[in-house]
Formats: sequence, structure tokens, C-alpha cells
Amino acid sequence: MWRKLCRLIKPDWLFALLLLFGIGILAFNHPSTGDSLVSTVPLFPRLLLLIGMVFFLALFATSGAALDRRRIDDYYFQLMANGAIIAVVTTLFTNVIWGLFDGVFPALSGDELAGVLIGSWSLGYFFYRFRGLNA
Amino acid sequence: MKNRLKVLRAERNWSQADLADQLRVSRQSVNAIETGKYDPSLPLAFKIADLFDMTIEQIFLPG
Repeated sequence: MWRKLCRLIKPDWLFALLLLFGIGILAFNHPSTGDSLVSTVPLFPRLLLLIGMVFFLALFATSGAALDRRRIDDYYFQLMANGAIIAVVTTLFTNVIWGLFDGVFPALSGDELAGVLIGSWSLGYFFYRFRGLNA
Repeated sequence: MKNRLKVLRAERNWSQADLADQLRVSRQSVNAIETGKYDPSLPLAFKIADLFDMTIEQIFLPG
């Protein structure tokens, strides 16, 4: 039953949906108040700038990862890649769960989320390092 | 996936570091393969098979 369900999920469609979801988050989180210079920039130029930057940085990171893969052991690359998955999932869930306590705790800043991402990447790496990639 | 790497290495009196040097990987990679913590990539599996002059199926066993 679970396997049947997993086969129904097409990764290409899922990631295309995630891309749209990501763009949606960027579009709907346009700051309308505040005194920063960014908040005075209209929505579309800001959105285009953000999407363009994300696109080129993702492309750059892909080239960097390809270089890493050639230079370092496949074992360590797999440890880092699996750790990165843990980091992405942990950061997303931390953001969502922290959001449930909106008003109780101050919202997480971008820098704090970057800290969660880097910390959970390191933890994910060491979890796989000790438990093994097949665990 | 199970493998016979530790036995094959011991038959040749190689340390993990010796094998790692010949495969051009880290000693930790060899240790992870031997303890079943990591299944090597196909290029590395071919390299291991070449080094021991065996086929991949003779070294790596399903299950």
C-alpha cells in the first residue's frame, strides 16, 4: 500500500510544484511596511531580482557540487548530500513549528534560520557518519 | 548489501590504509564499506573488482 502510494508520487511533478510554491512564498511575503530600503522597492522588480538571484545561485551551487563530487570521496559526498536533505527538512519544519507559536516567541530571523540550516546539516552529516548511509 | 572486502583484504595482508591508497579513497571510506555502512558507487565498485581481479558479483553480495 505504502509502496503503491510512493510510486504514484512523481518526483518531477513534485519538484515543479515545489518551485511554484517557492515562487509563491517569495511573491506573497513582500514587505509592505518597515523602514528598510528593500520594502520601498515595488513587488515585481523585487520578485524578478530574487528569482533571478535564486536561479543563478542554484546554477552556481550545482557547478560547485559537481566539482566537489569529482574532488572528494564519493562516501563523503553522499554523507554531505544526505545531511543536506536532513537540513532542508529540519529547517522547513522548524520554521513551521516555530510559526505555530507566533506571538509567544519572536519570529525567527533569516540569520537564525541560516543557523538552523547549517547546524542541522552538520548534525545530519554526523548522524549518517555514525549510523551509516544504509541505516 | 554484504561484501567480502575485509576477507579479501586480509588474504593479501593489506591494511585498510593500504587498500584506500590503491583505490585513491580515504581509509574511512574503506572502513564504511567493510562495516556495511556505505555501498560504493558503481565506478568505485569496478575499481575494487579490478584491483582484486574479480567480478563485482564475487565481491558484493545481495541482501
